Amino acid sequence: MRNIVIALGCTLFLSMFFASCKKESGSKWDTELLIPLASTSLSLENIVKDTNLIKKQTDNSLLLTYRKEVYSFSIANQLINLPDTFIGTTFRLDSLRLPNQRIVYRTSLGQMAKQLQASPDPAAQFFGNFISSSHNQMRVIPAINGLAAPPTEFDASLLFDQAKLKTGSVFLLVRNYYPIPISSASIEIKDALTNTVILTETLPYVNAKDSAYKIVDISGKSIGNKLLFELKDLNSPGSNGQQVLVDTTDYLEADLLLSDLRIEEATAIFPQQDVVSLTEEVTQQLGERKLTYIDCRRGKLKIFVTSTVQEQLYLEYRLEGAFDKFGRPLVESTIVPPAPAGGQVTIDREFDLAGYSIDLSGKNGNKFNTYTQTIKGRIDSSGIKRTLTLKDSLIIRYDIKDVAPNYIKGYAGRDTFVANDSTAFDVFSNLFKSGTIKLKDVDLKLTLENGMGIDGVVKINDFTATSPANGSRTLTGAALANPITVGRAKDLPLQPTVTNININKSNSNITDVIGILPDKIRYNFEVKTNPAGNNGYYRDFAYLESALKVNLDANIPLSFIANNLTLVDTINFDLSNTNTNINGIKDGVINIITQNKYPLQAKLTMVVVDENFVVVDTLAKDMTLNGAPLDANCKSQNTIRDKTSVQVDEARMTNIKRGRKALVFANFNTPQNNATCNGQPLQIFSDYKLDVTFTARFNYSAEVKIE
Amino acid sequence: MRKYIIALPLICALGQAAAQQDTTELNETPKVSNPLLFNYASPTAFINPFSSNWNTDSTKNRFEIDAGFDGNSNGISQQFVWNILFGNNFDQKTKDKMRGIMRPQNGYEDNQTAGVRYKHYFKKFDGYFTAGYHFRTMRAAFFNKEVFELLFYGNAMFEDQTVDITNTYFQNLIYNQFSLGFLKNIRQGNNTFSIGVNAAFLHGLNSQNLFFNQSSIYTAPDGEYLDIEYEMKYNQAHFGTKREREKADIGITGDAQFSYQYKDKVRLTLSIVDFGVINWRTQPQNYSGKDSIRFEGIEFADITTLANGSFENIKIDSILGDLLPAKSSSLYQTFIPYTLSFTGSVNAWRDKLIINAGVQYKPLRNYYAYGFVKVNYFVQPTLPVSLTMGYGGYTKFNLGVEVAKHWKKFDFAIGSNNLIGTVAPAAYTGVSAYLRMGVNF
Repeated sequence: MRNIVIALGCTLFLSMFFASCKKESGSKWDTELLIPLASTSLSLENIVKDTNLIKKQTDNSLLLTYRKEVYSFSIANQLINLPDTFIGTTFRLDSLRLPNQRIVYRTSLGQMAKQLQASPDPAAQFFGNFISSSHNQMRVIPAINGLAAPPTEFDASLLFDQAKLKTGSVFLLVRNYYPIPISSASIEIKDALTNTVILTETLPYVNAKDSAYKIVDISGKSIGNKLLFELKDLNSPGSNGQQVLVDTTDYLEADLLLSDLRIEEATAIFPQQDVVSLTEEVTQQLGERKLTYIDCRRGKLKIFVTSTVQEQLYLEYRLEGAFDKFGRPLVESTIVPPAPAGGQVTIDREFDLAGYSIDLSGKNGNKFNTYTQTIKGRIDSSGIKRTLTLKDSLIIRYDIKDVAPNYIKGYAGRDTFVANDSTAFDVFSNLFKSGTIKLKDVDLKLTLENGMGIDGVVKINDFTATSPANGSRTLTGAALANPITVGRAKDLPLQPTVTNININKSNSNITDVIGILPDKIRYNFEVKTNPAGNNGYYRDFAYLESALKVNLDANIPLSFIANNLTLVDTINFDLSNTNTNINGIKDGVINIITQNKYPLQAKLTMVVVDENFVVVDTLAKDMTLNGAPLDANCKSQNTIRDKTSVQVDEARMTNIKRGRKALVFANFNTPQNNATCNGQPLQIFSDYKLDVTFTARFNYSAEVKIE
Repeated sequence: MRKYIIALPLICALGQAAAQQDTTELNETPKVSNPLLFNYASPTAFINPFSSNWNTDSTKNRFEIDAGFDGNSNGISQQFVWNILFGNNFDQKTKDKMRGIMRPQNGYEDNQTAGVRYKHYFKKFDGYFTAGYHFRTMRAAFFNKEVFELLFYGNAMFEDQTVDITNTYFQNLIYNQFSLGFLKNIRQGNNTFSIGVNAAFLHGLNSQNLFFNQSSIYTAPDGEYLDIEYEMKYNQAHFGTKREREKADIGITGDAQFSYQYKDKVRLTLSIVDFGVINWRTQPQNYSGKDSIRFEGIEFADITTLANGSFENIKIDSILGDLLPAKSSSLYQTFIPYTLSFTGSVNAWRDKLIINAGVQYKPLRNYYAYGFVKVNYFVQPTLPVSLTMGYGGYTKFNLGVEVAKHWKKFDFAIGSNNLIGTVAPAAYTGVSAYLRMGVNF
């Protein structure tokens, strides 16, 4: 008895205490759970993806807005693209000038008396003696005839060796300090070497103690550097029986100023002087365009100078009417070294035109496409005798190249441009692969934005929508019947003008055109500039970036009838990182529950494919979503619920995990089960959406551990 | 520590049992009143520090080893409890069986103790002082049948139904108890009054506390959504290093007993045991809140995000966990569910038959008083056998037995308050077994 009791007690102890050495793991049991896994919402924004395309109106209806630049037509590149220009001109020296020269010749009574005393003529000897002996005495002087003075030599060799005068003048001033008048005399200047008479001039009557002035032209004369001056044939009526004081120091003075000595050629020490000064206009041929002004964003002016002038030339080039942004003119100076005798010298210089604005209206402002250039050449006085002639020349070639304006002004000419191209129109085509959609309305606006100061006219010759599934449809109607006048932009500041062409169902078949779900629009526009020609104002302008842009603005109320509208979408679907046995889940049923407020019914198929697009599983096949019921206003107020169940076990889950993408095929139709709304396009409102909830009914192994 | 406690009584029991002679004849109580008459009055004496199978007239020192497990439920089979505690799995048959015996409202409570106590009697004081160490666990739970079904069968069976989880309650306490006390006899003629007071220092080891007030879960058709309404509070503390735990989670309890005995005829005992509190400070975790949630799964902005998303490591627990209130780490207190009992004992027949009847109360939800009758028959003055019948609290009808034997220096008592549940845990609720051994010297 005792032993039994003890044994029972020990057993009890052992079972109570040693059994309390619990397992590390907890208790497990199977349950069946029914829980929501995930929920999401599918709205129009998800389908369209670009939320900027969807706009909500005041009545909460949705509008699809689409804006695209269909075409950008810039003639600025052609208008303001100036061809390279080169101009070569030969300039001869304008003039060469020698410095003025002065010769003063005097002959006194005493000198004259000596000369008469030396004459072989006894009468002359007598008169000479008379003069000599009458110094400081009052005498009656008889008439004098044919008196001559010995020649006097003038040496100009320090200034020139020889010169052929193109022009020249001698300013002759005769001062008669004799006590008797000079009735006539002649002055002769001869080249001492060649004995060539340079000048012979008869003096006028000069009273005693009086003067006379005369200008004598010596143009065309050639002179050496030694000149002989001679006074000949001096006649005087004497003192006319009156006693006059005879002073042998009284003289007759001839003051000769050789001035305005412009030479044709000379070997001389030339003074500093401008030898070239020329303003020349160069006109570019730009067809019909008559530009009055350009702004250069780049360009080069290259000057090549070939000179035969044997003196160093300082050349100044000025492009008239060209100023940089600081207002500084385009003036460039360069030095041309002296050419060797019988030879020539050439230099070249390059100048950057970038940033210069250039007036192309010529020196008087009444021309077009015309550059005005001023070239000035100057020689300094080197102190060295040089031989220069007016035949010496400067050949200046200047290249204006790579001129690219960023602004032009004037008359742009008349041009016709045709834009024949196509543009993507992917509003619907990215979503729906087939089917048609009958839209209630489409409000299409072609916006012509003209950024050039040029009048124009646009004609739409063709506007055709094409769809891979539904062929093509051409836009027709009153909207395209007539050309559209496009006004010019305004300048300063630049304000493009906007011209709208409104296209809707009342003036075209646009709803049919868009209804084929096009992916492309083919167009043919014709643009004519200055259709009225030159109005004489020359106020056309264009910037480099100016363009005529054609924008397409489409506002499509989302009110439509869908007919087998097929959406095919590929979405990433990669569950490869998901644990097959998701923490206790063994297998089960996935329910896809939809709450649809869209008045569209749909059939959905969802197929999972691997990276090679090989199907690994079909998650849903022809899953039906019914369209929400409509009220009397053809508006859905409530959602409609649908459910599809998918059996999933471990093997299937393993298979699905091989997938990388999911292909969703959805076919939409507008139901025709409402007598009031049948046949009417149904409006989509902003509160319409499709809620999708994934729930699961599955066996789950629960575990609890209590310590 | 626990292992030593486990090993020691076994060694002692075996040793003592082997060494003991049948001392029935040697220690046969004289014909005067048997001092052990009223010692076996209560079915839960193993948790009472003042109950003692000890004749203080003969020995002054006593060393006790006691251990016991008392689990009661009105609808939860013990098999269920053992599976949970010992990490056993539930197959469908087991679940169905458990479900078959469950009531609409089910309560469970258990009390486990294992420890040692020393007592020294002072004759002059006419009382003894006591010091002891015990390892204690207490668990209690209350839930309706639907909660069990929800947890063990899943919510799929409740499609388009609401499961009410109001008043669902669970508590788990594990702690070490170090106690000191005394019991004093006041004798006045034929009347003996005894007053006992015991205070214990508690060292908390583990705590979980869960309560749902007004709460429910509705599962929509096809699981489209779950409507979860809850007002809950959950606290737990069982983390931290051993060193941290030794310093931080402390509590205190008190026990008191008052008894009156008239001669050897009648005895009345009123006691309260385990009245106290533990403060949990070591890495506590709290969840408390009130909310009403409609769970529709993980929400994705749009269907393409859903398809791109990785379902890696989706945990159902964490999905549901996200719905619960946020976690905090605030210290909290647990009031120990005391046991208040009143027992009356009558010497019905010549020191042979003692009839005990009593009532017991614990401050647990929907816990009504537990009443019992325990009949002790002294086969010999040192060999009482007992039969216990009880009902109430968290029990169905309990039938228990007990056998005790005294030798001069050694005694033990072994028994069960719920023999049916102990023998057939899968088919019946509750289990009970206890053993008390004492060495007197």
